Amino acid sequence: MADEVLIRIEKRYPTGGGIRGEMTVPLGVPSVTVVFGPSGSGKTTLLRCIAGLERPEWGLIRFGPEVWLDTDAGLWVPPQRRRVGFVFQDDVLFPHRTVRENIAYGLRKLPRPERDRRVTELLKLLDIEALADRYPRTLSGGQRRRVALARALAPGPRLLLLDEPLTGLDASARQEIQRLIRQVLTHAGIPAILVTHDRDEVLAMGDRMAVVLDGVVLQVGTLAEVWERPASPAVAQALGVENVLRGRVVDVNGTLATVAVGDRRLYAVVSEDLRTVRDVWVVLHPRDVLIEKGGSSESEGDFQVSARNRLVGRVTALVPEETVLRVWLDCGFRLAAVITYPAREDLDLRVGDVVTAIVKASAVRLVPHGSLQMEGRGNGVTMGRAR
Amino acid sequence: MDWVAIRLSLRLAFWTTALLLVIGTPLAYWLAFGRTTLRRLVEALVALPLVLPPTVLGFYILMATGPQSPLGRLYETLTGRRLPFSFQGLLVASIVYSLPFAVQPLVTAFRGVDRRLMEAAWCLGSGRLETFFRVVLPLSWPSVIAASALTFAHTIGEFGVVLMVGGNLPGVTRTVSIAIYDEVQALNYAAAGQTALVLLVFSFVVLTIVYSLRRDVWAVWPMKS
Repeated sequence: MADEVLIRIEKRYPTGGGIRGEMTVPLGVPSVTVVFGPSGSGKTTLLRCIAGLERPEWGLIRFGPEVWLDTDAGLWVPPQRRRVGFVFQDDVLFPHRTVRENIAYGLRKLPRPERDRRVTELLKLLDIEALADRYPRTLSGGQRRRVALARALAPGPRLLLLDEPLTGLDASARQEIQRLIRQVLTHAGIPAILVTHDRDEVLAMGDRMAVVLDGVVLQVGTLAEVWERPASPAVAQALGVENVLRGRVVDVNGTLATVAVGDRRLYAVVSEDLRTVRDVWVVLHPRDVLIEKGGSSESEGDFQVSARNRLVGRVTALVPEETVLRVWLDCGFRLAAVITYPAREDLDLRVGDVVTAIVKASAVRLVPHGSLQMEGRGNGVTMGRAR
Repeated sequence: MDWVAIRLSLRLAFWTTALLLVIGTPLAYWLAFGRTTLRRLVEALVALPLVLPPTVLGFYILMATGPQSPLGRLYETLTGRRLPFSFQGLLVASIVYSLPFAVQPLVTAFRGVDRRLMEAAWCLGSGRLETFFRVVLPLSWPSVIAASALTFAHTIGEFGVVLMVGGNLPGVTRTVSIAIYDEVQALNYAAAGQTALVLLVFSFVVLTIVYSLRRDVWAVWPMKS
């Protein structure tokens, strides 16, 4: 398929480290592909190779029909001619230029009136008109990030690369920048590749994800694919111990939300800013899941405990870990719980047993689903493809 | 006071500084960002005038520009004149002699520019030359001024090289330092003292300017909180 970015590279540093792997990013639709992995895993190197700031020893990078790198053919396109936007981790704004001049940097070839118009448009889009004549050193972290976004977008890049765009910001600025990134991508109609080590950022921003560990791209796919079917135990471990389920808020009553997960209902305590969100990731730590033998009492009004969620399921696997036992349940979706070894003895738990998983509503965490392509929403209409 | 000598020194210093900025800037850029091992060799070569006695330097320049050398012959065929004991010859000598004073501050300044600023410029479509003029040079200007001031002052104060290459022709190669030397030889201490004082004050002012500029004017990045 030509309508995608194909990246298949190997880059090694003489001092160790580097990146090896293959991934694709769809073109022509706004989307966010998140490169996820711990720090030092090679994520940034991957991004720099795509931008042309690093030159892999071996590989092929193709942007649609354009070849950016083909080591076999000795082809290499320098960063100047790739037309990608790069947002660096610490913004890297030009300190000797005002906000306006920073944004206008990549527009030198445009005639003056057109350049001014473009800068004004971006100042407005990122809501930084008031900062136009200030110097970067006088700006806050969130403001600098906005300017960095505007500067990268100004020349009309065909792909946006973001290196840890939310790192170093406080909570409210993070939410703002998250929202803005989505907004500008939709506005520009371009895909983005975003590097992060933060799992919540993956959930909040990603359509697709690539998991990178120790310099190797281990798995690439939609968020749901990767989270539901990790390619290896190493990927599963990198993704974390928590259960991550795709859900939809169907009702909010006070601070209690009802979330549909598959054909089940879960109750979760919601905060103010999540009231209007419908698509969510349900994040649930296995240690917050209690297990009761038997499965008779799922119906409401029959509670003998305060916990709001009772899910009947079947034990599919018992995996011994260092200090606890991980219990895999099938409740219509896969759910992990951890129990102690004595608890297992007392319950005499075996694979195939029917049990009830009990979860407090306050232990269920909801992360807004940030997908630009709105995968799995309603009747499957995808906004991007309708462009 | 010997105004002819002072004017000559100023003229020499001005042209040396101007030409060294033109030659030194690309050389400094290459030394700062080049990747070949040849760089080390050139770096040492540029620094040589710092440690060589001016007479040694002057001797080699005299040999290299004399009518027996290919360089001297080439100059003679092109212009019909000879380099040694002329203002132009003095200029060549001054440029070589002050090379490290111009190049080294520039190399330090160029290397000090955050590499990612250049990368950001590349991603925004700037070629290497454009990046240099729009990012590297504006961020290095205090060092450019420092380099100019040092070169200028250093040229005003040179003695040995001038004596070797230029000799002592009033209005042509007789610079301030030579003039002072002559006055002292002639036991004319008052005249020597006046000119010496002018040089002392001038050098002091220049160094004050340089040191106030070399403080990091753009103390703004990277702002780690």
